[in-house]
Amino acid sequence: MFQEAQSDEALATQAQGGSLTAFEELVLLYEKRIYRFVRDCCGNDTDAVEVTQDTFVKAFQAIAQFDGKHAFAAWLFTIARRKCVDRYRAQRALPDTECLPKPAACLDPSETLSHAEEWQNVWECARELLPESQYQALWLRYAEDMDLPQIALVLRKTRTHVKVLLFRARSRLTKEMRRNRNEAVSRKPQFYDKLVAQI
Amino acid sequence: MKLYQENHNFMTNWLRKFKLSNALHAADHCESDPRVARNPELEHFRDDLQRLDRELAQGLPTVNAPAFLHSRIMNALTKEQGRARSSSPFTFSRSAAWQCGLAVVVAALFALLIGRQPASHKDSNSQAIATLTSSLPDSDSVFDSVPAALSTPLSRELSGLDRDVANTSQYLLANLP
Repeated sequence: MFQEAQSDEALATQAQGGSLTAFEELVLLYEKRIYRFVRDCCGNDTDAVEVTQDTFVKAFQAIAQFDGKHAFAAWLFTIARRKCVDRYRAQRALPDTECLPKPAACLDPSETLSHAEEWQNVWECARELLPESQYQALWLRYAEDMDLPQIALVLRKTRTHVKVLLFRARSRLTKEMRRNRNEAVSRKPQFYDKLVAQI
Repeated sequence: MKLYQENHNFMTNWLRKFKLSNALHAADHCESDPRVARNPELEHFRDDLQRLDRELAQGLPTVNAPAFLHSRIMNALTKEQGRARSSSPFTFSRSAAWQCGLAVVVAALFALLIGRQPASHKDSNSQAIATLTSSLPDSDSVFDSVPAALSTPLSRELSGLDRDVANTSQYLLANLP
């Protein structure tokens, strides 16, 4: 009566046999996760929907090439990342996602601090400050709970390179956290002085 | 010396920070490392790192996918399946194509190998040819069986040719120095 949930790899094997139903199960499992992943890369909802759709169509076309030795999630996220890069290249908005810094990274410290006040949480801060590859490594680690080999597979990098990416991202964010904390501490008396003066 | 010491400290601290960051992937965080406990900078870094790790894990942004996303993906997949079926009814799988190619190459190599047989094989072939040709009728007997009306002009031409060859050889021998 009650159908047991099958593993992703088992569903992928069924899809390799031509079952669209099995592939639909995989779509249901991954569509939101892929959408969230590509949403940050694309920057807008319309592109994110298109890239998500392209990712699943490409996965469906290439499902015969899926090797069961690797995790299906890593394989699918690899396709999604490639699709994001393809979209960037097609639009020529960003020629190379690896090299270009984020616009916010070019701001002067005072502007960065004013941005920091607007950041609701650490992920917004990461989105603004980190390069694409570091942000993606962090996202795959925390949002997708992938281990280092899987992240390396998705980003097409070595494990050591992934470790370095994560380390640099964390170092940058801890520095920013410390700076915000110090800034908050130094601003408190000014804030109270202003408040008292207003009263 | 002082510069060397500063560089050395910087590098060792960098490596220890790197190890602290990597330790987040392992189950056991290296809280018990005495070198970290002795260094206030590393200790602060470790505390910040653990706080950041918690915030990253707990503060994941919620991105709501549009409601039409699933239907749109499935429509695209259905179209793709229909297109794949209609465009290539005799689709080969990649492994089958490789196997066919391999079979053709093996057949070509086999044919090449047969074409380049060793001498013993050639001897046996020549013996077979001799056996076959021995069964054919002798050329003299064939000539005898031809009617005289046909063979007479031919024999006359042949004798004329013999005479010319003999005269040419005599002329050449006479002109030798």
